[in-house]
Amino acid sequence: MAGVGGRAARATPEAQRAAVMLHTDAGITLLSASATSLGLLHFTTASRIVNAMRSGRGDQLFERRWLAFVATVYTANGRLGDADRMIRDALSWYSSEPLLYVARGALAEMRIAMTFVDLRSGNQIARRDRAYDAAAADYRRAIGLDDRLAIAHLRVGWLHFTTHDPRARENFDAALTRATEVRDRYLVQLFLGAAAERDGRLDEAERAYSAAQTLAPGCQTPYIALARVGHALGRAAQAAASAAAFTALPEKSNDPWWDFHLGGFDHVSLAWLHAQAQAP
Amino acid sequence: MIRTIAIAAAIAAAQAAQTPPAVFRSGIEVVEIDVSVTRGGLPVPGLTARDFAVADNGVAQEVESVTLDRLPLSVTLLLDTSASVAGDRLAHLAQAGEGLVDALRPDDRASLITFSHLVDLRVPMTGDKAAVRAALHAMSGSGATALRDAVELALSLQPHDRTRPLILIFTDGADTTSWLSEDAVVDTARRVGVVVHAVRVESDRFLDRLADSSGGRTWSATSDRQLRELFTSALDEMRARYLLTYTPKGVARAGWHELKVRLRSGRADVTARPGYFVGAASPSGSSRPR
Repeated sequence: MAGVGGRAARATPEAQRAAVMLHTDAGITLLSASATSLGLLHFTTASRIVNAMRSGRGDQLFERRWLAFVATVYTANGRLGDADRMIRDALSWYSSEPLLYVARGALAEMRIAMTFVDLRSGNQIARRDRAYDAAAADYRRAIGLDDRLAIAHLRVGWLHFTTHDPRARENFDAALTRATEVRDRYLVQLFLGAAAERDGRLDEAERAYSAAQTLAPGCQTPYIALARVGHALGRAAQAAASAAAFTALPEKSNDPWWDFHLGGFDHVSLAWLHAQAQAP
Repeated sequence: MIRTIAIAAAIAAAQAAQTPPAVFRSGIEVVEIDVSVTRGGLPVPGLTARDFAVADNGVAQEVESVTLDRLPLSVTLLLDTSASVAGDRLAHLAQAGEGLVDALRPDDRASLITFSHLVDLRVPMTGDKAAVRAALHAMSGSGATALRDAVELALSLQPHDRTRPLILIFTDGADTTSWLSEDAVVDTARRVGVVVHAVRVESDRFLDRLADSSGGRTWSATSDRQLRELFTSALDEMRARYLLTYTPKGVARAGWHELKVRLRSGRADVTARPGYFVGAASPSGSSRPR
């Protein structure tokens, strides 16, 4: 695939975007099938085309969003080094792209999750806490660049929740008012449920989880969460009913919680990039 | 876009609601406890009610009956089918499950739940062993691991009938995608009161806590070939358990009841769940704390 960059530079913007997404889709599919080398080859090719596109004019929104998106793909696939390099390069070109900061925060969170922390070691705890602070700072920077970005509010809120920071609730409320995508609204309700559950407000937790279930009736997590709340309330029959309702679903959906938790694969950006590639 | 990534996820604990105390009305509710008694790793046979001393929240209770291996079993196989299991391990896992099904008695029942990031009830509780065998051999491995969420689902689906329920878990790795925290699922296990046995490949604090909270046991598999033997051991262990019954006296009805079970004389390892939970909302006579 040598010379792709040169040929891409001569193609029309529409052809460039289409070629980028063709290779991107192939890369995602191959990574999902554990054909890692071949998948990465497609991302490298797409990256060369994007580099050729960067010499063009305009706001380069497609290029910026593609770079941030692919960083989330790398993170979600455990390619943390590749994600780090991509984000560093991209930020050197587009330092005001908020999604790159979101991607960098998610990468930092994934690094924490994949690192064993000995809770008897003050140094290790301090290192983990610094990484959490860095991730939160990235999310806040993304919000500073674009306050409408629901995913940034969600991510900083969840980070605050897991570190018992009381600002979590205001982050979730901010995400709730900004979320337009069903995936984000679903996650907000799950997180509001978790916050209420931890505070012992189980009826409120139940309402939030039910709202999440209504938004995404094929997703697993609300059923599991409602079963748990049923047990905590001493209502075993309610817990059993929730579990049975899940097992009776004719079709189950991919749960946005899984992607959020495992590196933040950005489905919203993927849909946007596809739309851009197909636009006349 | 789920791939297997080793993550020690940390989700904060959910808090259980506390319920106000009430008083048991004598003769209305009966508590049943599965108790394992072993000496030198072998079951101790021939024990009667007079051999056991039971304390419920520190108050000595009169054991009314002790039965061994009378009630049929309802065994839930809860098997990890994430990407790390794919290949030879999955084949051995299917064989181990089949070995367990073969060892069931005619009136025993079994169900099969598999989990990767998705938890899937493959076969509801049934006496149709062929259906379970077929499902075991249709398993495939892919995806991440939601062990805690799977356990919560399995606990929630336990039958409430005159059988002895057992959940047997197999997993070979760390939880990567569960929504629920360890504390939340362990609390559910304490409330549900079902014996949970686990066969694992790597040490897992959650499984240890789960087994402890349910009066179950964990086994470590050093090779995939060992799985069949360990599954059968788990079933044998359950069959060798005594089922003690008593009617609680002199203790508040609702809330957490700490149990202490020991032999009145003689030395042996006695394993039972550490307690049981009675909700305040549960009408008298309608629930039988197991």
